[in-house]
Amino acid sequence: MNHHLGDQVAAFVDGELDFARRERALAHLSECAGCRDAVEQQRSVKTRVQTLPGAEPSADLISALNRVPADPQPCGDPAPAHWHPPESPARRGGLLVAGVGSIAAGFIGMAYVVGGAGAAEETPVSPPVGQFSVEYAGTDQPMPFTDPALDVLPVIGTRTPAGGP
Amino acid sequence: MNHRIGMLLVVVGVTVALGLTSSSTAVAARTPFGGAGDDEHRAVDLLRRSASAMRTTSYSGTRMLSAWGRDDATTVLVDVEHVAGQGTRMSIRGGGIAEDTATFLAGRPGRPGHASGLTLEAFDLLTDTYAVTLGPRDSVVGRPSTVVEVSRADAVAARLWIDDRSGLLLRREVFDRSGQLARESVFIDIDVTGSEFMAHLPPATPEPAARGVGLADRQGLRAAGWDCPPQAGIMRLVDIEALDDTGGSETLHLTYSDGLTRMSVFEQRGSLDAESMRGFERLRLGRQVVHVRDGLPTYVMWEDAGLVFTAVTDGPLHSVADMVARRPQDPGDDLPFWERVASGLARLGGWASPLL
Repeated sequence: MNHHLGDQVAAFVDGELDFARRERALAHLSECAGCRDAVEQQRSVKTRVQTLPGAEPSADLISALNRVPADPQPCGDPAPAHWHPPESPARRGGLLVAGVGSIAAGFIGMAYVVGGAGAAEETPVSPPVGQFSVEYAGTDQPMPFTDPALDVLPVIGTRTPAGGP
Repeated sequence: MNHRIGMLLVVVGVTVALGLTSSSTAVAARTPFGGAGDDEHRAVDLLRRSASAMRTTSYSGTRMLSAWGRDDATTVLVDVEHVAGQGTRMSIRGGGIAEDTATFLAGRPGRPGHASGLTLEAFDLLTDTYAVTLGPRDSVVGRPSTVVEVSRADAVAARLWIDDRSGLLLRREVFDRSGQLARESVFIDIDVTGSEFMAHLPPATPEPAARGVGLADRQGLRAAGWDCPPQAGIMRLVDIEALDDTGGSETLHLTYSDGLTRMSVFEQRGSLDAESMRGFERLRLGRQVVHVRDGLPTYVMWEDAGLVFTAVTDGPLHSVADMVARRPQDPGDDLPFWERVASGLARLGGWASPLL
């Protein structure tokens, strides 16, 4: 059983995984319903974000805002027939802050979820095997029972002129 | 041509002779002498004496090194002259090596030939990881020797033949997890009468360019997105170095050892370039697709979690398997909260406005 995709879900949805990781992800998705759901959810979020209309206030919202009195009603005034208890500015402000906070928290949460490092761009790397062989052979690690020839074999052909007497 | 045929005959003859010796040893190993506790103490003492002799005794001779891979075997003959404190001159034949291979390996701290090399810590690595017991008495190239068996969980990992007179390691067998012989190094000729200071040296092995980082910075490296597990199976992380210029990128060099074999793991950020895998065999090792060149030493390349790994080991392929099997920590796990949120906002912004 492969590991779950985790933070790589967003990168998978965006097609940013390299070939090997995408192959592994596809193999895993074929056997993991949980990760398939995660990918579907991510695709759904992406689709919704892409299809969001421009931020136009609705007519109802503008109408409601127009009905808001400039000053609060004085205490003791008789209530009209269809009167609803007025909200205090502090309460309205609190609700506004709570609403904005909720939206912001949701947005930040969404950003955190899709902001895993799976999105990092990966540049192709060609390991310099010859240089690595020299580093391997030159390791100063105490190994009491290894054969010194094993240090020489990897670096034949990359030698330098002798510096000793 | 005659030289090649001659060497082939030598290799075949020695292999047959060693095969017979191994059979007798395997039978005799079932009846070790002495009690278990005494055995272990005596085996440890013998190994200490041998480790010391490898540092302080000069010798010359010919060694045969063999590596058994999944499909084939590699065998080379090494003419060796070792002067304690100075270094080792070697000339390698066989194994498809055509050029003049006379090479000088300078004695350095840590290497078996160096006068001040072995530390208590290095020896403890072997005895911490494995149980060592005395095996039967035997002989290698006519020299009486004692076999020390190195095992773990009742499976023999290696056998070491220690010369009774000099304490030198005359023969070494390393087995893979299935109990098959994977590596062998054995003297087919040795002279311990002492060598004089070597005046005319062949080309030396190149000096490494890495700078020391040290184990203390492991957590910092981990937070920076590198993968530095303190253990890779039974192998322990014993050193960390860095290479500043490897094709324009930084490389981390991790060294692991179990006291018997060692493994270098080189890490680079990015994905493995297909061009660099020519000459390597593609196979699956656990959950990973890896690219292997098996031999002396064995190279294994793979990529995972945005890192490219190149492992080099003098041990069998299974030495690398544990490193390959583990999933590196995703660098995103260590991103600071707000950096991760910013990364996500950028992604969401990209979705909303693809041209951004």
